[in-house]
Amino acid sequence: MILDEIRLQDFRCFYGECKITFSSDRDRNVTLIYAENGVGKTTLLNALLWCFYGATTSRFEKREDILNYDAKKEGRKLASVEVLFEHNSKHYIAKRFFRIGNSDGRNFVVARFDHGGQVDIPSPDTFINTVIPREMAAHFLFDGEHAEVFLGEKNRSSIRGAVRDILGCSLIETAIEDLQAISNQFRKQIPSTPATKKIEQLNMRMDSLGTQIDTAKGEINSLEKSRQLTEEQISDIDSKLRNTAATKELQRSRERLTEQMRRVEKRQKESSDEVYKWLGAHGRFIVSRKITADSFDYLNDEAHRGRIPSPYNEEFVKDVLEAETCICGAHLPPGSEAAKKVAKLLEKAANQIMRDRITRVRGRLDQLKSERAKAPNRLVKAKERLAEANEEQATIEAQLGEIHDKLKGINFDDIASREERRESLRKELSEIDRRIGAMQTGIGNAERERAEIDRDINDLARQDTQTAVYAKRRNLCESIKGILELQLAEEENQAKKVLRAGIRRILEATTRKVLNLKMSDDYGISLVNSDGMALPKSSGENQLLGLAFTAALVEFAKVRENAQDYKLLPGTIAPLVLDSPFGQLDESYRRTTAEFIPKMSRQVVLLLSRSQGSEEVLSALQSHIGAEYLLVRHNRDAAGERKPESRYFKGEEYRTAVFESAYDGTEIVQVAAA
Amino acid sequence: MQEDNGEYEPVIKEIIDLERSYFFEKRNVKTERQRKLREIIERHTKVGGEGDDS
Repeated sequence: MILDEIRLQDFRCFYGECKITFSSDRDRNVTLIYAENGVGKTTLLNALLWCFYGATTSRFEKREDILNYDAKKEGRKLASVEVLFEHNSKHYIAKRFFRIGNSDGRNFVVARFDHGGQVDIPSPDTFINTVIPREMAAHFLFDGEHAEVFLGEKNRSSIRGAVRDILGCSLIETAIEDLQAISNQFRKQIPSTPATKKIEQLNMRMDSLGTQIDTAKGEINSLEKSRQLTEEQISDIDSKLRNTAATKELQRSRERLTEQMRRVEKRQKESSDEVYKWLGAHGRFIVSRKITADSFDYLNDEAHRGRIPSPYNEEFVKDVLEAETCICGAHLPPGSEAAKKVAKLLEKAANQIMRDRITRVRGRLDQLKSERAKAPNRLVKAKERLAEANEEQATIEAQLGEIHDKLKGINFDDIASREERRESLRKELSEIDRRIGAMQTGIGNAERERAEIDRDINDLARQDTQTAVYAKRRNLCESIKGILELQLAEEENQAKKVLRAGIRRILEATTRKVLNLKMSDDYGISLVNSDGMALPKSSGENQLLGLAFTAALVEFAKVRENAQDYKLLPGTIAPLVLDSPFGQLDESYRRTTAEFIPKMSRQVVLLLSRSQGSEEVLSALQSHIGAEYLLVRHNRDAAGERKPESRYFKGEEYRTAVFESAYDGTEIVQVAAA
Repeated sequence: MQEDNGEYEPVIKEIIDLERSYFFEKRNVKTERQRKLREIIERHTKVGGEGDDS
C-alpha cells in the first residue's frame, strides 16, 4: 500500500476540511509533518487507524469523541476520514463516517477508482485486512512509544506478539484456541454410564483444575496490567529523574565553569597588571624613542664627530701653556697673543669628568635603544594574554548564562520525593513479580495434573463403545492442535533468525559503537557492548534497537508479501508512519537514525515536533523529503501574555499558533516547495 | 513433518479456511465459529469416515 492522500472532515481537533497529499516518490519518499505537542500528531496517526479499522490506539484519549467540538456546537453531525491509496497498481479510496443520531447508515466504504468513477468493493473490512492485516498495522503506524515497547526484558510477550503478527500466525493461533475449546466440549459430552463413573469423577476434578487455572490466569492478567501501570509510572519518574540527572550534570558544569572563571579572572588580572607594570617600567623606552633617536643623531652627526665632548683636552692645553711651546715648536711666552689664544681653548676643552659623562650618556642611549627594540614584543604578548583571558571570560559567562536559563524553574525538592516514590514502586513491582511467579508455578502443576487426567479419561472412554467416539474426536483435535503448534514454533524460529540478522545489519549501519545483539529463544532482546555487558535500557542505543526491530519487522513483512502457505496471512508492503521516533537519542544518533529512516520503508510519514526535528535531523533527511506540512493550532482566545509562535521554512515565516481565531482546532498548512 | 501429517492435511485445510472466513469480518462470532469447527471434527470422525482411526 502507498498512501496518496488523507482527507479529514471535522475529525477530532481538525475543524472543517483538511487534507495532506503524501509523497509517493521513490527517492523523495518522506512526508514530513511538523507539529508541536498537543496540536494533532497523534490524532493524525489515529485518523489513519480509525479510517482503516474503526479503531484507535490505546493511548488515544476520549476515543468516542470523534466529531470536532466546534463543529458539533455549530450543529454539524458528520465527521469523516478518507484515505486515498494505491495497492497493486490500482487506486482506492477508503471512507469512514461518524454520524450523530444515525448509526444505521454504512459507515465504512472502500471503492476502486475505475475510468474516472468509483467502484465499491463488496467487503471493505476484508479487503483492507488483506492489504494490511490489522495485527500488522500497529507495527507500521506507530506512536513514539512503540519502539520502547521492545526494549524491556519483561516485554517479551510484546516482542513475541509482534513477530507473530508480522508472521501472520493469527489463523493458526485461533485454530489452536478453538480446537482446545472443542476438545473440552467433547470431553464434557462423554455420556455417563456405569462404566464411565470414573470418567465423571475425573471430569469434575478436571473442571475444578480448569477453574483454578482460569482464575490464576485471570489474576496474572490483572497483575500484568498493574505491573505495566507500575512500570509506566517508574518510567515517567525515570524520565523526570533523567532530567534531574541532566540537572546534576548542569550543576557540575556550572561548578566547573565557575572554577574556570576564577582562574581566568586571575589570569586576566595578572595580564592586566603585567601591561601596567610593563608600561611603568618600560613605557619610557617607547616615549623616549624620539629623544633617543634625536640624541643619537646629534651625537653621531658628522658635523659633531670629534667635537663632542670637545676636540681639545684640558690637561693637554695646560701642558702646552706650561711648557710655553706649541706642538708645532713655536714659542708661547706667557701673556703673548699666541699664549692667550691657546689659553682661550681651555673654555671649550673637555676634562675627564665630561668625557665620562658623554660615555655614560652614549651607554644610556644604547640601552634605551635596545630596550625599545624589545619593548613592543613584550607588550604585545602581555596584551595577547589579556585578550585571551577576556575572550575566555566572555565564553564562560555565556555558558554560565545558558546553564542558568536551563536550571531556572527546576524544583529540586521534588527530586527526593520522586526518588522515594520510585523506590516504593520498584518494591511493588517485585511483589507483583513474586505473585505472578507463584501463580505460574500453580498453573504449571495444575496443567500437568490435568494432562494426566485427560489421558486417563481418554483411555477410559476408548474402552467403552458408547464413549469411544468422543475419545476419537478429542484425539483428532489434539493431533491437529499438536501439528499446528509445531508448525507455529518452526515458523517462529525461522522468523527469529531473519529478524536477528536484520536487526544486526541495521545496527551495524547506524551505531557508532560495536554493539552486539542478544535475542534469546524466548524473545529477550538486549544490547551488549564488546565486553559482553548489557547496556542500560534507557540508553539511546536501546532506543535505536527498538527502531531497528521495527525496521526489521517492516522488512520481514515485505519479504513475506508473497508467502504461499495457506495457513499464514501473507506479509505486506505498507507505509511507515513514525510519530516522534527519536525519543532520547542524542544528536549524533538522531542524525544517523534520520539518515536511516528513509530506507526503512518504501514510503515514510514522519511526524516531528520542533525539538525532534533539529537542524541536524532535517539536513540528514533533506534529500528524501517529498512533501512537508505544518500543523497550526487555532485558538479562539486572545494571545494574552503569550509570545507569537512561528517557524521559518525555506526563508518563509509560518505561524504555528493563531489566536483570536474563529475556532479552536488544528489547521493543516502545506510548506511551500523552495 | 508434511509427509507424516499428510493424513491430517485435508481437515487442517478445512479448519484454516473456516478460520480465514471468520478472521476478517466476523471477529466476535466465536460460538458460531466453534460450532462449525465441531461439525468438521465430527464429520471427520464418523465411523467409516475420513478421520476414522478405529
